[in-house]
Amino acid sequence: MPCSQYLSTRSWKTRSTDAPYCRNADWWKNPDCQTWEENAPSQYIEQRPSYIIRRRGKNWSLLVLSSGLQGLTEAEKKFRYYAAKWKAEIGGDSSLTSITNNMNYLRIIRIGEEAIPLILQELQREPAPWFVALRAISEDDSVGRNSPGDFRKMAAAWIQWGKNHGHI
Amino acid sequence: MRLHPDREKYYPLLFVSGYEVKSPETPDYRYNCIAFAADDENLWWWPDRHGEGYWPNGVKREVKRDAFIQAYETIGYNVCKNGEVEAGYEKIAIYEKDGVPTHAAKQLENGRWKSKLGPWEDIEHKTVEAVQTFGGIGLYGEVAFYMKRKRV
Repeated sequence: MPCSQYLSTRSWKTRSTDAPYCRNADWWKNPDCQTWEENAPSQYIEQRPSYIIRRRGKNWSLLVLSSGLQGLTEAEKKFRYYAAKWKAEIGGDSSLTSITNNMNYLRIIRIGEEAIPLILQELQREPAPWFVALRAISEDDSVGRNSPGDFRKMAAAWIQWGKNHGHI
Repeated sequence: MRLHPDREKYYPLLFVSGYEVKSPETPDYRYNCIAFAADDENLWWWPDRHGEGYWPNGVKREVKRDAFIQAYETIGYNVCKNGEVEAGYEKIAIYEKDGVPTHAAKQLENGRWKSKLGPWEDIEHKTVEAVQTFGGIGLYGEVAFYMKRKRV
């Protein structure tokens, strides 16, 4: 015997709280009523999954964000934050002057020695104009000076320097 | 193909002027617009005082119009009057914002222009004004002067 009571258009919350008056008292004894989904009209079922999936999607993405920051030192957090802002702000700029004068870039220099391995990791991933910051922090003006404008060669020179000095 | 909207927004005249992406971005900062206009796709040209960018030998490392003129003179360009197509010559346009050089574009034989947008994509744009600042929005300012050299 189907549970026809669920054909009503009642809202979600009322289904569990004041359901007794809309179905008979022995509803649970009926094998046809084992689960409400099996007996509910299809229109009713279709609404429920879409509502729940959206909510779960939001919760899941929040968990990913929070776990990505776990275990980072204060310097790493600062570096990631300022590096992302720096890249976003320099955009399609060709001017090395603006790129290395950007406030986020200067704040990364302010992090000091702790930023060196982080910058070198970035360089290993992809060359970018990190060289002024590396020179400023390390106080070493000799690295990569033979190939101005060739950021791949300059990055390779700094990575080698990092290995020699135990930063990588 | 168009730029991503997050990038196109920095060039308010680009879409209405007409353009096309010609090659992918170079996130490794391999070359920039100044190099691209000089047909160099291996170096980042810039006269920064720290000496990180490539700049032709003997030219002052100053972000000033004269330094850019001298830099392009080393590869055969001379200042000219305008950006109109001239048979037998190739032309470049130098842009300035607040009196400071910011960008260079190169004219193609068909009269269109090509630009490298920093580390972003190379584009071909119908007009030289397409990458200019408009309504206070934009990175490059306006075209300040043109240079030309004999096409080889």
